[in-house]
Amino acid sequence: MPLFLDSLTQLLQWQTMASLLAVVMMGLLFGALPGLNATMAVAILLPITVLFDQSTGLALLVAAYVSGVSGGLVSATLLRIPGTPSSIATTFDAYPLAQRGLAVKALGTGMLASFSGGVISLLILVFFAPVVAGLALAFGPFEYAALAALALAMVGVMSGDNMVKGLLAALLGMALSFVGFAPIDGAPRFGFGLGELNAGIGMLPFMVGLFALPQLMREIIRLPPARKLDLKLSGMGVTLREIRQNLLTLFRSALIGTGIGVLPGIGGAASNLVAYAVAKKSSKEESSFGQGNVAGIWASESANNASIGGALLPLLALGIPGDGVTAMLIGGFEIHGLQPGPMLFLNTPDVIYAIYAAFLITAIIVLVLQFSTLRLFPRILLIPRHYLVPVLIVLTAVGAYAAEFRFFDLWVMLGVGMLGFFLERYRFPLAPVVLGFVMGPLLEENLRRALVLTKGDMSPFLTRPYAALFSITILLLFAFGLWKFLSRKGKT
Amino acid sequence: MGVRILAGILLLMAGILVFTAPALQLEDSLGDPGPALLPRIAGICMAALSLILFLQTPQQPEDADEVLEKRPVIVLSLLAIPLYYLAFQWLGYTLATALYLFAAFCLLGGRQPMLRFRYGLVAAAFSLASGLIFARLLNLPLPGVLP
Repeated sequence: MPLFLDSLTQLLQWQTMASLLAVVMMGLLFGALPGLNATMAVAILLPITVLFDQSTGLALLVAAYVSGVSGGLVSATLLRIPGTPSSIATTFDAYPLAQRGLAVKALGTGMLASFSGGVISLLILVFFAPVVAGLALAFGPFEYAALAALALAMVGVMSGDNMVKGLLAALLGMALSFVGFAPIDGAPRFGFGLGELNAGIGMLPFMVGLFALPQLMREIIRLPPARKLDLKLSGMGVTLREIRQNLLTLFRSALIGTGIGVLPGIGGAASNLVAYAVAKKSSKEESSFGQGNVAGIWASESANNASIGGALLPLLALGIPGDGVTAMLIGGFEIHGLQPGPMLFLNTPDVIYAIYAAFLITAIIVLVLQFSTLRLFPRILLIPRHYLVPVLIVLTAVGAYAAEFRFFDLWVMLGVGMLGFFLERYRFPLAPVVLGFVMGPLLEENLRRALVLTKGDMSPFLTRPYAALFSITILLLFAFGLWKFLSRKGKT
Repeated sequence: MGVRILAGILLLMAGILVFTAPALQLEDSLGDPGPALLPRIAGICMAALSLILFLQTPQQPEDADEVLEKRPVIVLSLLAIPLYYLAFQWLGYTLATALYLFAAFCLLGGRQPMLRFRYGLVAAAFSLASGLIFARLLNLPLPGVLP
């Protein structure tokens, strides 16, 4: 508790608060504008955090993540376009409500639900992360190798509707992580005589290239026409009775969101849809869902924000990212010379508490900022894209260059960006690529270390309890994936 | 068709992993599988999955939802990105950014002379102001920041 209060006090200093406020506004903007998202906000912010100390830098990244997810509500409500995939289910009821002249009610409900869902998942994170980290302290290289393989298998098998593409994407990310010096012995690999490639593909140009550039290229290609927006917002806002009536939906959806957020590769994009479906099924007014039932907004918005706490749990406790954004947060940790995982709780607990504090402060700032600019904020949807896209391309270039001040990284970013563009175009999920890139070295280092310890004996993968649990889960996962693949093939 | 070309590229990458990795094999390893093991495993898995993808009949439309626009303006706007990176290297941040932004605004926005004048102003103001913020306020040593 004293550490949490210290972190809170540190973040409440005016310089840090000013940075936090700027980042929250940026995150909300990225979340609200269709085509941009939280992942991109974190990607663009990542290099800038070098300028801050460890705790503040990571706090800013978490702020961009939380506000980026929260911002999707605005365009989902007013334009029926989910600003981020996390807000798809929000459009189902928020838009019809806004169309009935109750936009303030829809937005207000969404804001409260986002805040509550985020805070519930933060409490779960604060309670469970140290417990999981405590268990992980007993992990050796066998457990870590099996866990890394499990995360990769999970993200490959579970993400997207095509397991082959998901697994290929994860392997592709892993293949790109092989470029440069190998772990353990530092053997140079796949540099093809290029001195700069021998140093490996930088985390920042890779992340920014994969998540920001393809999206910006797509925005150039399908530059949308100017939007018309009815900003004559009116309505009653949220009533206490509605809050009371939707408490169960709120808690249930927050739990669903947190649970789904923990699973690698699924995250907010699925959690809001699952929570919405559960809320609809368990409601007595099932038929009113999709026509402006506030319970639908409570379910979707609380679940998508709750998935943030879920995704942060395996990242902080095990060093395993839960989704694309948390994979990028690993880059943030690396920039500051930190390795997420159980040792973080022992060696630098101040960083952990700074992340908790940033999560809480951001949730409050987002709530206050969104409520106070309820009639003003939606105007950001009118920013002309022909200004926004080129400016963002400039910022990504500065970010990639500033990581190590190498011009070569600009070309790496462009190459990865083009790869990402074509992968997305042919429906390959991008999250497995980044998770493969991040998890590849972790898997390789621990696998080699484990085999050195046992002189090549692999049996501990089945004899050590946690390693065996992870290994068996991998096998079950592949069996499930194969069954899914074959049953789909049988149907067609 | 595009998916098959992509599958072919992935297959080629897999081949590189599988066939160049043995050169990395350790001789006296004391149980360490060496730096070649994982690239080889990944390469074999990638090759198998790429082949499945290549042979799989597409069950849904291959392409993403939107139709790619091939108008010269769009192609030029995309080409402007690598040109900006080259200019960034040769001319420095402020000049390259001002030129790129002006060109991109003109390509993606309206074409009236008054608008172009506005684009020029915005491009110059943004590149000067952002350069100063990056270099002076954030201490990022970018090349060619003016003034």
